[in-house]
Order: sequence, then C-alpha cells, then structure tokens
Amino acid sequence: MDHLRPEARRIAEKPAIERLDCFATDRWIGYSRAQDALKRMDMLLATQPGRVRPQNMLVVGPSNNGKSTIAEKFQRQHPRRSSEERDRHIFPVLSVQMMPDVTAPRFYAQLLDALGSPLGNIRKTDRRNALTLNLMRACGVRLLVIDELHNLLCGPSSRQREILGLIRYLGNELRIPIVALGTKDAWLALRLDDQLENRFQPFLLSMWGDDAETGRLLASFETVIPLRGRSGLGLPALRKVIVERSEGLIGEMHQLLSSAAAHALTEGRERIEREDLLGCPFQAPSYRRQMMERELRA
Amino acid sequence: MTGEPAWPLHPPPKEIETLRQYVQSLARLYGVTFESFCYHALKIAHADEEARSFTQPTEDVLERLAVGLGIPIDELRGFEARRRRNVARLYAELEAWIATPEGRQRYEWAFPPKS
Repeated sequence: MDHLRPEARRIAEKPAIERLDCFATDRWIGYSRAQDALKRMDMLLATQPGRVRPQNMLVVGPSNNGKSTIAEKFQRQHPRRSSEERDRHIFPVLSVQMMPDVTAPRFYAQLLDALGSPLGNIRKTDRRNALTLNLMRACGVRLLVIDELHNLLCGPSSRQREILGLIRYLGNELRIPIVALGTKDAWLALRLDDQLENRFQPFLLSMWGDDAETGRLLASFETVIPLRGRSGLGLPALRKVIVERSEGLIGEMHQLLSSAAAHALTEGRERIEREDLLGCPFQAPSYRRQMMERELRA
Repeated sequence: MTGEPAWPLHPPPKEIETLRQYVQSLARLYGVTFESFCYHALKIAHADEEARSFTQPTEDVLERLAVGLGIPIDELRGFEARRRRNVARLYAELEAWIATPEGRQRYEWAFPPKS
C-alpha cells in the first residue's frame, strides 16, 4: 500500500464495510494551479494591506471546479487567533459568501456575523456600516474573501452597482485587498464598476482536459483514496473516462472517484477499474441538468 | 461555562468595575449606546431599566455574557462580591502605603491637612 499517504493507509487497513463511508470526505488535493492561486493570495496578504489602492484578485472558474476549496484552504492557513493581550480575536483573513438576495445592510450583517459580533442584527444601516468598519479594524482584518460573487447578478442592476460600490469602499477605507471567487458571471458583475474591474486581477481555473496535468491530479487523488491496490487513475486509459464523465470539473471528479471506489469495494475489488467508473451511481452534471429540465417541463 | 469567547472584542473586566460599568465599557468599545448593546447582545428590552441596572441579572443575561466573553458564569454571578473584595484590597494597599514615610509625604502633598 505504498501508493497511499499514511492517513489513507491507516484507513485502508480497515475492513471494506467500514471504509464505505470514508470516500466522500472532503480532502485538499494540492494541484499546481490551486497552489499558484494560494501563492498569489499569500502575496496579496503580505504586500497589499495598508496601500492606498490595494490590488485585488478574482478567481474565475466553472461551478464545482474547486474555487471554494481554495478559499477554505486559504482561510485554514490563516485562522482566527487571539490577540497578545487576549482581549480580541484577530482575523488575518475574513471570508463571506455573497448571497443571491444581498442588500447593503445584509452584506454588513454578514461581515458582522463572520466576525462573531453580537450586534449583527442592529437595524440602522449607517450605524451598522460604522460598526463593521470599526470591528474589522479592531480585529486586524488584512484580507477579505468574497465567495460566490456571481450571485450579485441575481439582484436588480441598481443593487448590483450599490454592492460593488460598497466592496470598493471597504477596500479603500480599510486599505485591504479583496479576493473574490465566482463563475465567469462574477467577472461580468465586476465589469459594472470600471474602477473595480481594473483593480481585480483575474485568475482562471480552467476545466480539466485529458492531459498530463490531469494525470498528475488524478495520481494525487489516488494517494488519498483508501483502497489497497493501485488503480492507475492518472494513466491514459482511466484518465480519459474520468475526464469525460466528470466533464473536466474537479468537484465532479471527487464525487465520481468516491462513488467508483465504493462501487469497487462492494464488488470485492481493492482498485478502481473502468467498469467501476462507468457502473457506479454517479451522474454527470450535464445529465443531472437534462433530468432537471425534463422534470420541469413535465 | 468557559471556552473561547464568541464575541470578537472581549476585554477582561477592570478590578473595581460593577457589572453595569463593565457592560457600558463593552458598548463603548463596540461603538453603540449602552441601551443598544443591551438590546442586541443581551436581549434586554428597551423598556427594561431594571435589567439594565445589572443588580440582579437573570441567568439568561449571564449566560449570554459568559458565552460572548468566555468568562465562567460563576465568575459573573460573583461579580459584585469580587468587586467588593478588590475595593477592600485596594483600600488596604492604599492605607499601607500611606503608613510609609514616603506615602505619608506624597499623600499630604496631594491632600494638605487643613490648618
């Protein structure tokens, strides 16, 4: 079992029945593009706070292609800690998710909730605004992460502009960089505000193709899937099936491999084979969409 | 109840603060009025002046403070007794200091005896 990481090896020693639930666990797979994104975020965190016009970053990629996982990893690398005086929490990185029905007061309330403030439900917008800025300063926030930025487009255009103005204001006032993540709609949303568009450098997370880079990613996946035999997921034969079925999305690959691993075990195998990838209950995203559309039409 | 404070700002109480003064200082720190802090953070109704005196805080209020500040609830229950102990200790320290020649001199400089 030397193809497995130590933690996966320990789990692989358990009987098959006990391993069936282990496959769906979220795991960090450090592929090179994600590492590049994290490095850029680290660079922003190290160099941009305090600047008059800090540089920002927009991580753009299709849905279920690992954007939020990168944001969560970055948050874990820079966790909340206690101040030296132990009188406040310090948040080097503060993360929120853009809600589809966002308004300025709700966005402030989200920031206050993320900070753990007991005053998130305070009503007056101007007071909530001042309170948020004060707390973000007091808690040493040095970088703001906004995930699912594309949700901004769910609201009317006047509200979209209002929220973009608010994001710009937060960055300018606190002099902190902002990392936003979203689908290509997030980039379209940012284009509504010329100044913001110029200050957000895009970072693309493309879909995965049937190539050597994907082979390395799948080989990394294999090291954390607790099966005793080597499957050769990164080799061309299985790689092609995996890319096709997952439609090149890393989140779908994770689900497909989890499902295929469980399928292999129930068939009494300790490695994933082509028939597991094709016969497991995983449904490709386009198939799910078609099913949904058919249901809605019926 | 102890553990990590849930609220982002959680300064420890000063030695001779009453619970009300402590909550007032928290409100100032958060940049809101005392009434607003009591209402939003401690769920004390605007009309409830009695609760805002903090002379006999309810278990619910103490629980919210304990979770928010990471202070054991028993410490909060004994807040007034602790304050009295601290005041008595500080008086004793002051009197001991005044009893020294240097302390006497400084005390009489600050508070000249009436002739």
